[in-house]
Amino acid sequence: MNTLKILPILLTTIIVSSTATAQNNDNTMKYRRSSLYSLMVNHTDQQFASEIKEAFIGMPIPDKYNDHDLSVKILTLDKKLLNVSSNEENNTISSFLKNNDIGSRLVAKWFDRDYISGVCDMNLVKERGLYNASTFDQILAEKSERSQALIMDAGEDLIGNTFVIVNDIRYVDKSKGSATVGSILKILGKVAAEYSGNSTYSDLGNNLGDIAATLKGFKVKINTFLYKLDWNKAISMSFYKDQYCATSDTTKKQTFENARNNYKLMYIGKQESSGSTTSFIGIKENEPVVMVRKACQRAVDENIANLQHNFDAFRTKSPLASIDPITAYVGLKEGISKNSRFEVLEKQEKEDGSFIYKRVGIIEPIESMIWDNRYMAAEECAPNATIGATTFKKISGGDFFPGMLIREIDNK
Amino acid sequence: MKRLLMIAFYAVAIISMVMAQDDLIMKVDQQGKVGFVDKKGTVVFNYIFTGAFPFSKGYAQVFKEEKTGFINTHGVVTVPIIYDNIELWSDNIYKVKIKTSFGLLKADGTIVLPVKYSNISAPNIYGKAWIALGGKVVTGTDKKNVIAGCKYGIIDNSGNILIQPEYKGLFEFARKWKFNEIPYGEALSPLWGQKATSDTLLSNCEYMSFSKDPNSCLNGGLLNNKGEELIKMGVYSFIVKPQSDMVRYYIWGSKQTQCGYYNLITKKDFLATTINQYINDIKFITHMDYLGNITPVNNNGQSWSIIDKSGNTINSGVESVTKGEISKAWAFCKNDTWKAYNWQGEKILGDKNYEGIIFPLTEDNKDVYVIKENGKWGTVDKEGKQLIPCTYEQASAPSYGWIIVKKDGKYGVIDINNKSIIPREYENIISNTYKYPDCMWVMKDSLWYNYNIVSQSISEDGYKVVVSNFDNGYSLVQPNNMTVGETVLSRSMLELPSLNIGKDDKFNNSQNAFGFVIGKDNKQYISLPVTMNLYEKVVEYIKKNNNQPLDQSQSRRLLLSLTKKSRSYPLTDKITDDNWDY
Repeated sequence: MNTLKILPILLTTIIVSSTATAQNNDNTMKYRRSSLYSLMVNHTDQQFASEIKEAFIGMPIPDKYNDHDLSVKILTLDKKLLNVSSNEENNTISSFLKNNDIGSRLVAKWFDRDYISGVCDMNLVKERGLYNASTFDQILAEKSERSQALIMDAGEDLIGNTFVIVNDIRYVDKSKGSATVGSILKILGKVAAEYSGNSTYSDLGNNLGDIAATLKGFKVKINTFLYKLDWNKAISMSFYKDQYCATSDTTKKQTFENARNNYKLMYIGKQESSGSTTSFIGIKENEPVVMVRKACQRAVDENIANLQHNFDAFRTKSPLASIDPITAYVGLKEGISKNSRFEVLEKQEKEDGSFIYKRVGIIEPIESMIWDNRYMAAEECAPNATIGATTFKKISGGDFFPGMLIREIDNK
Repeated sequence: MKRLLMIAFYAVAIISMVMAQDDLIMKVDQQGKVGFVDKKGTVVFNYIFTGAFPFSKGYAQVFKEEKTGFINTHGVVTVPIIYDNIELWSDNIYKVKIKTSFGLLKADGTIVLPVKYSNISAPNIYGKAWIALGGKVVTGTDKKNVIAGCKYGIIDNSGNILIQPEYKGLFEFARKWKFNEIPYGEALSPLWGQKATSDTLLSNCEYMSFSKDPNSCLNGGLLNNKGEELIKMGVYSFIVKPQSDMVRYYIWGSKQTQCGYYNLITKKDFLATTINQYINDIKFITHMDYLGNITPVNNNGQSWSIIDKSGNTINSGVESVTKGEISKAWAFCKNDTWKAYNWQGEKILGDKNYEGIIFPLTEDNKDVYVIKENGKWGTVDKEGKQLIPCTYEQASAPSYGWIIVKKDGKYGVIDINNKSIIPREYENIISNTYKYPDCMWVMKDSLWYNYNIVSQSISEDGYKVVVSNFDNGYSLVQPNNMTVGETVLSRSMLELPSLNIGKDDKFNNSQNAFGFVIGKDNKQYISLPVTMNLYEKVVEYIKKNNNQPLDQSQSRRLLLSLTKKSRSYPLTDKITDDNWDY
């Protein structure tokens, strides 16, 4: 046998072996996501309002969504929100969104519209749409039917999947008339300073006990209101024709300003958190804001998961992390249970550069292998907190391949 | 040819064996039970597990209901499925748990530590971990989970016991004291207090202090990293971490403190000084660590004596002491005369008496010493040989090979060969903090200018205040007579309520908190003034933007985004456009 012929076989073998266990992190996988803008209503009449605000600011947009935040995140209210318990559209929230032209601002962000000159570009659309940048520009420049199809694709699958959630967060006060002891951080900051010396702890007295008792039962009630940007063919055509300008154009700039009211948000629905008590496990006593963050994060995640269950439009796709076994980076945070079901989607690119998703199978999670990816699950040593992904079993369909996406469907 | 074929055959066989270890594939049946098959689909493990992780390095962790263990690729359960939890602890060692007890083992079943410990911490970056034997988990008075009534020990990251778990109190020397901090000066003392169950060690455990009280290191003894007792408990009130085989000790009573040293080699101690005060009342540094063979000892706050490792006085009546970290030397002043010694006690810088000595700051010029003779400054080497003649009115410590000097009332920069880097024309100069900077700040007519060292020219614009010497490529500067308008954005950069515009004086009193970000090319990189607290984030953004200056729109958007948390608005309000980025 010729010596040279042996080596390629060996090399191939080595290469196959070394890639067998490669895994990707969900954040590095490229797939189209919906875009999300998240705000909170902070109740300044309540204890811990400042800590809750800090915790909310610290919460990132969930990684299953593109971050479409605007520069206003915190709204204040010094009383309970009117009709907060109703599932109907909340007039106060909707009025805020309308009066502040939120719809138009979300559109402006899509096109990185310069507030001084009105100049726009398509860079964010290209980036989030995973289009080949040069092909995209080329097709758009044709001003042909292909261009139209591309714009429609970007509209339906991207811009039209822009959501707003307004989180009304209230602290559930369990105190029975005990004296208000002021900000958590101030009290425990003092305590932490005393820790560093050689004093005994017994002289801290009852203040710490009161605070600790409050924190141990720390609960928040969060009502999350969900809205979707209304981006249809008429709005899209009007925007591209009369308001989008790649170079400075006073007329188009003014036309957009005059048309801000035309960009609307549609109310989809509302979710109220269960209000369960968040455990203190895994949190150090001199880091109280972590407790507040944990309670708020868990409740917001719970609401987002439930909104996805209840409203198809808000459901997200996630990529398969592996195909044998079938795993994905979703878990309890997304509200997965043994009764969840997911469709497996294959992305297909059409000649005009747009995309469609075709169902190729259905999978279910294995009950004992659902990942606990809730905030701080690992710190509280929750079971399955460290398994890294949920494992599924196939219910129907053919072969799956890396790059396929899954999306939750209605329970069996 | 035959030999080559044989080599190829064995190579493939070895590779196949390696591959075979990972060849079992996890499968799930209709009931959701997990089993393993080989590449041909033959069942190696039946569908009896409720969960499993994929194979790695020949082993897979499996679950049966609430219990877990390991299996290998040959159908063998190597670690019985009896543990409540298994997690990777270090390399190939796993930490296992049964009820409230912990142990360590390997996936092949080798027991590293039996399951009998009430806690095993994670290893730290030095590969050390603490273990606890006995006791039980309680929430302490400080609300931490600790193990009450246990005995502590130390292990390495292979699970070897370095210090047996026999000590009720076991402390690392991890509490840092600074050079000028009274009364201990620069030292590492025991870090007292019980560890929370999730805490890891902070040091390499070269030495440990031990006592009977888990919350106090007073009257503690000393162990080495093999668990050998070097000093018994109760001999000294307090000790700090040994340096150069010498342990600094304190014995204190209500009105007196005895300060001395214990020599770990000779196993003898000696008293260095006695101070007629209780330790907490002492307002000076008592005695320092041996960094070599000599150390300074304070004589009741009046003067210093320099002693050797046997306690013999080499020098007394010393008025001032400085330490050269890079040069590993001391400088002592007596009767306005300075002399320098290396840490071994040998005289350096020759036999001359100097009027001042300044040690170098950086490694690359560690043998260049700035000295004062006849009222002027110059430099010498370690032997005292002149390098730069003493002709300067002032000189700074050498930093990355450059020295700021003053002559005829003007400052300039020279290198250690006395070659001019920046001519002596300026009222002040800010020292470089890295090697060979392109530019440095120089003061002229009471303003700071950017001096370009390559072109030997200064910028057109001068600034009242400058922050940073372009370490990250940028600097924050404040032009003379800069006034920042009070807007929603500028208020939020100061974390002031944005709705209070014009209603309080807090903004006007904080004008000095703002500056502009400029690059080495003197261009402004953000169109709006920013505050110091946002400076690093702005620079980070500019770098991500390919180091391109931000226009008005981009600047505004960035700052609005960075100040989101400072701005809140009534839900019922219409928010004006200057609050929005789009």
